Amino acid sequence: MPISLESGLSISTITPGPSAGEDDAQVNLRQFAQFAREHEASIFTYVLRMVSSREDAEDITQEALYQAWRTWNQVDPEAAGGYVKWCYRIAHNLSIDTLRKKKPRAADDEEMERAADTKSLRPEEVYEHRVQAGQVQDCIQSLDEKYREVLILRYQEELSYEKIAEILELPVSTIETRIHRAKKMLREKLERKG
Amino acid sequence: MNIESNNPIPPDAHAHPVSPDPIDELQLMRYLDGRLEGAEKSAVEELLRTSAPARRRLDALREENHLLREALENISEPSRRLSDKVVAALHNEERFRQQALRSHRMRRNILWGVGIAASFFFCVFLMKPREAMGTALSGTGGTLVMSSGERQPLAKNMNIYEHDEITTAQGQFSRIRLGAETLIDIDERSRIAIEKSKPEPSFRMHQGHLGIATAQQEVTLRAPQGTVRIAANSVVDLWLPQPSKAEWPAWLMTQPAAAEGAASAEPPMVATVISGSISIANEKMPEGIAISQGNRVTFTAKERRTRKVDLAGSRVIETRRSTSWHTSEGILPQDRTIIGLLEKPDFQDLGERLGMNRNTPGAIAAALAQLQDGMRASSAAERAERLAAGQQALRVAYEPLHASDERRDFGRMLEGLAHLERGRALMERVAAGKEELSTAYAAFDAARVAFDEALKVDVEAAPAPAAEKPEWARQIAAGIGVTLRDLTPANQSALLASFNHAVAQHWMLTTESVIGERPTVAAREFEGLRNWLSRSVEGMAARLAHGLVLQRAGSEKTQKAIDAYSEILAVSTAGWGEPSRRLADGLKQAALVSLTRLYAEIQQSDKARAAAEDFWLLYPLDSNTPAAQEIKSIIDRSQLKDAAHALQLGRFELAVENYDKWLTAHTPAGAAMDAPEVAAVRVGLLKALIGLKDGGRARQEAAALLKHAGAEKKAELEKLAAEAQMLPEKTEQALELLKANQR
Repeated sequence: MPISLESGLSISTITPGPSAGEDDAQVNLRQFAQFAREHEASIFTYVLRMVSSREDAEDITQEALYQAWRTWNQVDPEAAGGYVKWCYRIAHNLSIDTLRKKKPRAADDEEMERAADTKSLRPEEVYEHRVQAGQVQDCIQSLDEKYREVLILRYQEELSYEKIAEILELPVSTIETRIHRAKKMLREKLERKG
Repeated sequence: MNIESNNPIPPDAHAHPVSPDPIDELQLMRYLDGRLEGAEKSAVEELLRTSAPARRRLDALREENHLLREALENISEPSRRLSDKVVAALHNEERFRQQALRSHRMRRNILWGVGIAASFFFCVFLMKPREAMGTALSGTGGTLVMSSGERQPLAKNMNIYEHDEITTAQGQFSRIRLGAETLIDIDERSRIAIEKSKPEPSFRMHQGHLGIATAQQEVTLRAPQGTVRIAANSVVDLWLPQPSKAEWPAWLMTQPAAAEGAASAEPPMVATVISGSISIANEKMPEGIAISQGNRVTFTAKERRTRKVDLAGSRVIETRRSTSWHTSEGILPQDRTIIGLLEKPDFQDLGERLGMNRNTPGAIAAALAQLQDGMRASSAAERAERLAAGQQALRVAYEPLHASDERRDFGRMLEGLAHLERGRALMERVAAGKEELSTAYAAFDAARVAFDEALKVDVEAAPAPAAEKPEWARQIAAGIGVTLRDLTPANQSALLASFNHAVAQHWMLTTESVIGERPTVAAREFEGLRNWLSRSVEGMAARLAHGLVLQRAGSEKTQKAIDAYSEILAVSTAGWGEPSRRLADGLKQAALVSLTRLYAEIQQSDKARAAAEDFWLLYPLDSNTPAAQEIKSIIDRSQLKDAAHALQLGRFELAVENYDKWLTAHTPAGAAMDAPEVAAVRVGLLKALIGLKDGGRARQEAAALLKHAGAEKKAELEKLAAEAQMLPEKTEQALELLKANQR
């Protein structure tokens, strides 16, 4: 389910105004509940791809929603991406924290990065044989998180480079370079797997 | 822009291509993504018109994008509505806020009515002012016990005074601020008492686990074991551990031999200095001793032991740095469901639940009673025999049921359980050297076939790929806390058959010498079970089993097995009740035993020792449990293996070091030095000392060994003694090593 950052542009367009007897806090909570129900599956999918553990993904999604609520009033719903971008950003940070806590970066990853820079494995050399989506999935899971996240946001969530740049708070050129480098590392891994 | 460039990555990406590539791949990617316009787009289109390799490259890039989308397209659903719990908790908070608002209005209205009395109490209050010593900041709950004995739920911003006590129950975590800026994170099941606030805060710890972060002030903590002074700007984890009561997963792994001796009578306090420093004073050291960052001290009133810990590398040390339940407001950590798959089968109860006795011949009830009776037999041989007879009787008893009666499948599943239990009983006999492994293997194989038939799987066919979500998984996912007993009889039988089918395969793997595809098949089954049971203790158990079967798959899957064990260790048991916590501790201990064994097997002794160290960190009072003994024994064997290996490679210094360590641990003062195992180690040490040219020690060892040597060893020892005689008294290197080992 690709996410739509535009869907979070204005919460007032998707929820009715206050009912009789409701104060601001209650209205906010009702709006938040609707938002959380709408987006929990897509946030969960993104986090699951990042951390590869359902248990962690469920915990992180819950924590992200909770943190999103605590900062609900600080977000400008009219800003690009609004609440959805904000929530993704929190989920992203929590995922990275979990990954770093669990698994320090392996020396192999750095080796692979260097190889991606110095070696130019052409896509036609890799994909001329039948490559299964399952193989690609395994290789994506083994990429370093900074490369995995851009591939997930680009090809799972189908976000534009600009939107990815907003979520990760990086320049568009860096996103472009990372995607390119991620693909090269992916080819290298696929080639090694044979 | 020249698109026939040799520089596919912009300069800021530090690219250093070595093979010239006439096509600028990045530019083609941009074209494919629709990110080019005007001249740049025309240039690419021109290239594509004229260059076949460029067209090929574009097709390959398109294929790559397609594969990436395909690989990432499967959408996963969380096993339950995650937002519901968050929103429910927030609604609760909101309700509390509303109630507080209403009671505030009510209080205002009656205030006038009790004005005189209030004024009186206010005057008394002014006459005896009390200064707040701290404030409750956040958390999932707790109880404040005032000096008067009155109890109140701990609420945000509530003031805490001298002589107040704070207690937390299961699932309750609280963060309080003490004095100026000291933060105390009180874990669940803890109790502390505030003593005084000036000149610096001090409190008493009665029970549980705390994290303390000091700012500009020192803080003093008193406990029966001694006094801990925490320096300014320090972060410390303090723990009054209890024996874990872990339940070993005997359904999955043979229980290690029981330990001898009793656990330490006096419970210790464990303090880990995460940053800064502390000073510990007890009866033995009343003036106090400083402990710095990266050390863990375990002390009682009379003893103290400090060891360096790897704060960054350990899987189990509580570093008090990540977000935790102490900062949560409203949401409580949840207990983990126990579905009921890990307990020993109660055949009569199961038969009742599956309707086996409803309008059926009495023989079925009799067979189930026979099986249950077999389960109670204390001797493994008797148990195996009675279970076999009960299984046969059950088969004969349900045979007359109509072919379409689902209870025939239930009966087959119960037969599978009987075979599995018989296999476990036979494994006990194998461990005692009274039975062949092949007999146990046959029992587990019979269990596997019975479960296959109960599930109506074609046993001759190739293993099926991951099946779609079974009905029992849907029923479990439908609500929180669903257990085996809540399922329909058909789903109970299917879940028991599916889970135990994988378990039977695991046992087959432990009893067969030729490993084929079974680890892969069993790993797939456990992975499916783990996903479908993810919010239960059984999900965690399936992950442990997943690691064990991956380990059997050989070196290729070793890392995946390590990942599985690490995941078990990372599971937080916050908010778990006693029964689920016991099971989780058993699974964690089994994971640590497996991890230590795995690292020892692949000769990564340092990592094996680190895994063993994690066990002592996590279960400091479990040193006499079977799991602890097993870990000790693995580390011992690994140490001797390392020593023998070092001796073989001519690394005599390392060999002497390992032999010395082993002998120090196994030959306390007064122990028999001529026991066969000790003598063998000492012969190894003698050879290493000769290699190291440490004449003095080598001659001493040779003389001691010759004194007790039997006739068969005498010739070898005399030859070694002769070699030792030729050596100089002591080399400088040997002297240094001896000093180091003595230290």
